[in-house]
Amino acid sequence: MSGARRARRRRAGLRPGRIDAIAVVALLGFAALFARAIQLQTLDAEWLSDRAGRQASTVVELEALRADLQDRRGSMLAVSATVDSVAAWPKRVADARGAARALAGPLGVPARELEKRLARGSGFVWLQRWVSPDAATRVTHLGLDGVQLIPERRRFYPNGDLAGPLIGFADRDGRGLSGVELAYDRELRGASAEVSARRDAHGNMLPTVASAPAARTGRAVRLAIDVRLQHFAESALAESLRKTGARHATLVALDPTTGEILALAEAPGFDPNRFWLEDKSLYRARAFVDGFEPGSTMKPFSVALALDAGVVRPEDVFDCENGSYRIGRRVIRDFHPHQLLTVSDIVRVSSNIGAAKISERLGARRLVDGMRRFGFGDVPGSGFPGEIAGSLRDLRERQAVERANLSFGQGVTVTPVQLTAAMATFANGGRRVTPRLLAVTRSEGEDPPEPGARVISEQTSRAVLAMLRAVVESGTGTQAALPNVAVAGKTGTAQKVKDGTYSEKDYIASFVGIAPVVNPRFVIGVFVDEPQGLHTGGVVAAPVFREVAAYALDQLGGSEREPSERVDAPRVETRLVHGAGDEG
Amino acid sequence: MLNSRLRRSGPWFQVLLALALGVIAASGGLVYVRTRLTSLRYQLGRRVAQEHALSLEVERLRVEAAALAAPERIEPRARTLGLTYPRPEQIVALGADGHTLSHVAAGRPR
Repeated sequence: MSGARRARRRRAGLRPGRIDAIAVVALLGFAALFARAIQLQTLDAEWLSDRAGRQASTVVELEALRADLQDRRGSMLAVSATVDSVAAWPKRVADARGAARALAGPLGVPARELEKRLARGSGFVWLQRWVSPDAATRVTHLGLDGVQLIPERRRFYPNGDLAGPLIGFADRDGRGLSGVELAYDRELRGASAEVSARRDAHGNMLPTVASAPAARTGRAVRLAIDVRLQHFAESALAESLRKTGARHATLVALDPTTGEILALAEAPGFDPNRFWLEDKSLYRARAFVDGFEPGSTMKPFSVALALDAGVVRPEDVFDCENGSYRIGRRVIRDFHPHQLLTVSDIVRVSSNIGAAKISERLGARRLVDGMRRFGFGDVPGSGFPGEIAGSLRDLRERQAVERANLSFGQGVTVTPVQLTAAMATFANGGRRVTPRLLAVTRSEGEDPPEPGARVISEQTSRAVLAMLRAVVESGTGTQAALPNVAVAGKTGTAQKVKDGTYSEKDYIASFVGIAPVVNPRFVIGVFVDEPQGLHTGGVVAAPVFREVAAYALDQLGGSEREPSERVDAPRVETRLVHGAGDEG
Repeated sequence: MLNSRLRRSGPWFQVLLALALGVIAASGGLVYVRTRLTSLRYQLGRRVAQEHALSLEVERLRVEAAALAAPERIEPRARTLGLTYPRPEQIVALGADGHTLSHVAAGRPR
């Protein structure tokens, strides 16, 4: 160091020892920084990088939207959407009373109730779930601390209580709990997806540039029902309940060729939009899950089996004992006494004694086996949750009373769907029909569905169909007749079993019919539980069939449904008409 | 003056200067790209939020459209306009050839 420089430093008050010390400290400082940099950049680099990645990135679960439920024409029966729910963190709400008062209006909940919820002091409370868009906007504008909107999925049933028991419902978490919603839950739910996202220093979500897997929406399910027919059927049942004072009524409409359930109405029903407020007993689709003794609607099956076995012919005559006939200890009676009746007339006037005598010729074993072939005592196979098989006991030949009872529909239980599907056998040339919940969709060139197993010969089927037509034209079911279209069917008036005995005042009135007789398009079963006053199937259920069959022919009977499959099916020329209908 | 100083300095200085300028330019570029990337991410975020809002609106409109199409809503309105269902006697079944099936169905072949 030159002498001049030393002199300058001396003048500045810096002594050589101090300079060296500062230099050493600076050097050590730089060395420490350098060492730390090496540690951070090399030794700890991997660990730090992982930690930073974990802090900045997050995984978001994308919930799949539950798919639509549609009718056969694509009308929505159930549809999902995202709606807001209002939640609060009570500890962060400064003025609980003020907040409750402000929220009461938009949420439609009394302020006192909201205040009670906010006073619970837990970490998180729902104030109102599934609020309207308008209410959500109003809550946002309030800008209350500790109160937040949380988007949630909601299932909507846009037709209200239409087909409620059939459709069922899904819970708040989007899981099907009953009806078709449960039966096809896996298809409707789809699959959720996890997406990686990055957050900035403020916690804001930054989308990743790389394409993220989307949540897979469930597959839409198209039911066989037609909302128009369903609506009409439910209205007709509601009107019937009003007129008859009955407890309950069920209607099942099937396509006899495909087995598609075109309408399944229960009255009273329930609104799945608010299932948690409804009477739980109304959730049940009785058409599938409730068995009942069918009564006379079973007679065509007994007669068909006897005809098919060749033990009787339609024109064979039976003595109907003037309305009273003893078998063992049991006396069988007819509603109206008859003397001599042909087999056709036994069906037409619904003679219990005639049916019992026909079953004597057939025998118990053949009767039971035949009934099983028609599907009785077996689960119909529609796939509806909880569908029951009904009951059909095996009989020995010597059980004459039980055999006679079975021939006219006592000692056996069936479901409305089972009975309607069995009746479809006569409309389907003697082949069994499996009821289907879903619409049958056929692509071009695809084979039609396999025909069901043959139960009776085509000739027997035709013969029984003629007898059923006579029931409507001049028998017990005249109130089911349509003026311009021939229909067939069978009435039933079954005593209900109460406390182990047949009730003298509680009945199930039923009518199961086929329309039209030529090229049958519809099989419709109407079942009215405990009608008051007049209670026979011909008076209570047959008129409902008539109304619904007319509507079905009008709206669905044309070529609109399956043009390629139904070239010679009847078309109907009328639609909605103006005015009260003054044409003949 | 700079040229003369550069000429006076050796070739190592020129290389160093070029490297320094390169590093500065690359650093500037990197900063720009990072800033742009962040900005684009925010833009993308806004677009995604927009798309989400629109899809929610679509969901809401689908529900509304389905509710408007419900027969329970339409039927009373149709009735107020004087429309009604055809009575059973107004319904005639036709065969594929357009001729009525009623006679056949009623058991009276023509």
